[in-house]
Amino acid sequence: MRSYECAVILHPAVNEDGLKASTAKYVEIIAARRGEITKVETWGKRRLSFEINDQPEGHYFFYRFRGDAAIVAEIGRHLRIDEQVLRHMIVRDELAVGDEPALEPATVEATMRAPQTEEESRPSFHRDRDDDRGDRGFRDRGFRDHDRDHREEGRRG
Amino acid sequence: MGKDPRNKKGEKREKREKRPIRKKKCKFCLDRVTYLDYKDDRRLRRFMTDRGKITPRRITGTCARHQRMLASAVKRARLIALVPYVREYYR
Repeated sequence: MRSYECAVILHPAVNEDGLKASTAKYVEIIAARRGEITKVETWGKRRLSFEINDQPEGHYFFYRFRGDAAIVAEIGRHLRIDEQVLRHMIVRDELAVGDEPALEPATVEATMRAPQTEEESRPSFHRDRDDDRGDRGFRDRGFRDHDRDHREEGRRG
Repeated sequence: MGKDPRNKKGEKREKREKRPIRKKKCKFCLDRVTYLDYKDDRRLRRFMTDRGKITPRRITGTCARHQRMLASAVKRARLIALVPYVREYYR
């Protein structure tokens, strides 16, 4: 038995009931193969860093569970088939100690993560400080003078 | 910096010479980080350039071990769109 963490991004159009159903479905898959769910967390609808399937946002879910490698293969298979899933990732849960209490599959609900302040929209007007590949034809050529100032600062630090 | 304090024309640069070399400390070592979570995108972002690249060790002063941890955390975070692969334009 090993601890895993599975991250899932669901399509933003999925409604409340759909999210519950989705959680229940994957919990069921894990439980059916004698896996133990230790935590299901959701971040709600969150902005993606880049568009996936033309979608700018998605519902984030994180499943932490224990089980055999066969479970990982099985969930992976279902996740790839599921059209509501924009993207998924299953990794070894390196934070797990291995003795977290298992949740009762029938009652498992995704807990909401405490909202965090958004830092994402911070405007920025300079290129990479150490971008030494020269002009690659990007549209931000107009900022090159700012850029130079920052570069100087970067070197000194 | 350990470079020759003269510029191309052979003139001495005054400002730079006087600056003492301050050794950078690995920020993760100071925090006694044993595992870097890929979900902690705000933390990861501090070690990325605005273009989305992972900042090199020579800039941030991160130690080899933590830089490795950082790199894999960033790569995982990219996979699930928590941080960008590239950002070519700025708002």
